[in-house]
Amino acid sequence: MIENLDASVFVGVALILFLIGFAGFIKSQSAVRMLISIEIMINSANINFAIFALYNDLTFVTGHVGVIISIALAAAEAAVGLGIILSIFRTHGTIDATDFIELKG
Amino acid sequence: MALIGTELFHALEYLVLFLLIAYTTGSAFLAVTVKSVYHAVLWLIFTLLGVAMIFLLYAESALLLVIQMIVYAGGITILMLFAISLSGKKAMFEEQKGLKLLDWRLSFAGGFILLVIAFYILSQVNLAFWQQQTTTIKPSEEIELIGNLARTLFTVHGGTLLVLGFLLLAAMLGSVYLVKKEVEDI
Repeated sequence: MIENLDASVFVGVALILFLIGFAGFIKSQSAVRMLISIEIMINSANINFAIFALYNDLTFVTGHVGVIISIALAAAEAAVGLGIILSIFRTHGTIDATDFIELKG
Repeated sequence: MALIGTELFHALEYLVLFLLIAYTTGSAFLAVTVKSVYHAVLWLIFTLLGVAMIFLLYAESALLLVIQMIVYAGGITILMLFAISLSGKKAMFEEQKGLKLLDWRLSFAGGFILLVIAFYILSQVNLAFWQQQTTTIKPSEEIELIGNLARTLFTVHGGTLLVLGFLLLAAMLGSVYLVKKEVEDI
């Protein structure tokens, strides 16, 4: 590991990943690709959790616990999201997010 | 270290860091831009592996690498591939409709402006807050990290773990309920 490496490098990486995920979420029409973008954004948050855990005392591992909780939440979210996508495909015949206009007022 | 000089070793370390960052962000970019959704999931796997390597090399946690690879790169992405396969041929390619306002060039121009603003805010935060603390990552020490993590997880965060278990159970039951076929009344 590089000595005296500033954590700003990884904050920058997390920022770039978040922006890519955000742009992809806005742009995409496929519901699966929206989920992919959300996973990228969650991962950028996880990088911050893990890197800032090193700032503290190394015996204080709450940052790592945060990453584990976040990954479990992402797994639950992906399972429910893909279930909803399959359910919508069964009723609508498409997973294009721009076609879901049932709740439109 | 003995085989190569110290300066060359440090240069190689920076090269590895640069390659890892380029690999992770490049895969993420391709995951949201490539036309086929199948290929997008494959690029997402590479992104997740890059993040796992960041966990191992720079957050010094092999456990997070293992969890990331098993749960994310192995589990969620396969779930996505199955969802695409079950959603018919049309789901594999994203149709490009004429959304002129959200054109790629515009959204990435907006993203770039956001990036500049965020870097400015980050540098200000660095000046104001981080200078009071040690802004470099502490070197690794020989401590029992995983044992300590397990102890913390089951004592301090025990309640969170319990709630997480219930949440995963609810998510599993909910997805089964959503996907199961309607049983016709006999």
